Amino acid sequence: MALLSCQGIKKHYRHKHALDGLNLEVKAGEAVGLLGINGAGKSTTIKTLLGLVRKTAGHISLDESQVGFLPELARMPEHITPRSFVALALRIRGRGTSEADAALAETGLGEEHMSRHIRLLSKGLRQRVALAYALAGSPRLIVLDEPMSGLDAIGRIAALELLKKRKAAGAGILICSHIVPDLVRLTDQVLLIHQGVVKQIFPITSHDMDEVVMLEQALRHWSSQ
Amino acid sequence: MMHIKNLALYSFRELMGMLVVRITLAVAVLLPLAAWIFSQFFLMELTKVQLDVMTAGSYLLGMVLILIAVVPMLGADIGGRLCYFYLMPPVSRSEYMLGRFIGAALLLLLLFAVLLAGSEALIAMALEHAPADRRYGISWETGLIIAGTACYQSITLLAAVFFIAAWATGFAELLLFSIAACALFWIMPPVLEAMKNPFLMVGVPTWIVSLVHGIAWLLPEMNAGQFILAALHGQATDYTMLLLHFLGHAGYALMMLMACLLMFARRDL
Repeated sequence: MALLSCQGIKKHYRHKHALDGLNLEVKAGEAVGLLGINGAGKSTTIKTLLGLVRKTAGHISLDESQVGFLPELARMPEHITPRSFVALALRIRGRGTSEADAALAETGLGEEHMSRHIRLLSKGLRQRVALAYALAGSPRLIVLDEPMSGLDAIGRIAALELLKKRKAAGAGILICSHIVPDLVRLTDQVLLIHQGVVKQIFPITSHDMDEVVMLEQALRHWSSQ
Repeated sequence: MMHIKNLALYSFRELMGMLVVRITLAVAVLLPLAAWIFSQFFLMELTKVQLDVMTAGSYLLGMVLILIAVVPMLGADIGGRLCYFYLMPPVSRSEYMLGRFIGAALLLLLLFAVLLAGSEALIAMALEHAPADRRYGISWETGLIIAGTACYQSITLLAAVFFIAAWATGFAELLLFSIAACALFWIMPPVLEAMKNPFLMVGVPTWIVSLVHGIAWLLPEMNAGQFILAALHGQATDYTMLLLHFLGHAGYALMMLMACLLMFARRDL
């Protein structure tokens, strides 16, 4: 069952075609990766799908009841504790706030950081809080824009394991990342976006280095176009 | 409705987490003491002096809270893209804006509750110690009029700030236009009122007269001085006029909020 699907999505700014007829589908228990160079249209795709940016044309079908979203971070709320922040996500998803600590612990945030203001946390810890916000309450569709940004190696591995677990539990994942090995480890297919168009679709089957190399070569090819 | 409530409580908690908000509330708690100390430099009508300080403090603290707490919060939401977290489906843009607005309005209500308690404490002290002929007609209603008018005028300003946030691109723009709105609301209405004087308008083209009247109608009268002065001088409050003043503000705030929701629903974030 498709949790998210879109056909012919276009987004035109005054002097630029950010998206030009994009098609995409994310089913339950499936992870789809978006890959592309800077300015290819990956973040715009995500923002358009979630209604943060208004589409110029096309059709989007989204199960709005349970969506977890981790935006590419510019800032985090500073004057609130991670516990209260994640509790908001749980309330929005109709869950009890008592799950907040468990959601934060799942991303590797220590108990001692849960009741400190977010402004006092390091970049990596903030990213864990943001990830906990997106995953709290086990949403059916998880949309992630550069989720590994600022995480250390251990944090990255833990985050990937957590996402794999969610996928295995039936959640659909749409992830946008510059880190090709992460996409290969997690996803079932990767969409290579260039100039707002899906240029190639790569099914990921073996999740090994060969697929990493193949994706990197394709990325290099399209970036030189 | 549930999302609005959740976001309102969250916003209130977030605002209360700001040091600057706690300092402002502490100033509000200490304001009656400051008013009492200040009044000791005067020889007579000490209660009036104290309530004058409370009046000025109420207006100032309401504006300060909006400019140094609410504006940065909205600026981070819009400019820092923090709103992406809160606008996660199924939360709609209207629910987000209303939740934020109600959260900020709750904070203003808390501030004015503190200021009301302070004014009433000063009034109670005055009524207890002053002889009947030195009370100048001041009663518990005086404190209510001071805090009440300052409260609903601050909420009108808050609605204007939310209207600006609906189209501003970041903190700097939001702050600049919010300060401009404060200045406009406070300075322009008396000037326009003076300009509406028929003697002044003799020979002025009709369209300019209409324009002045139109702008005067658009801007809310931010100064409830006529009601406060009357209360401080022991004159009977014209409750009909006060109600009209309040309704004018409520209408203005509602109009700003509606415009805010309409514009915010249509913009790219």
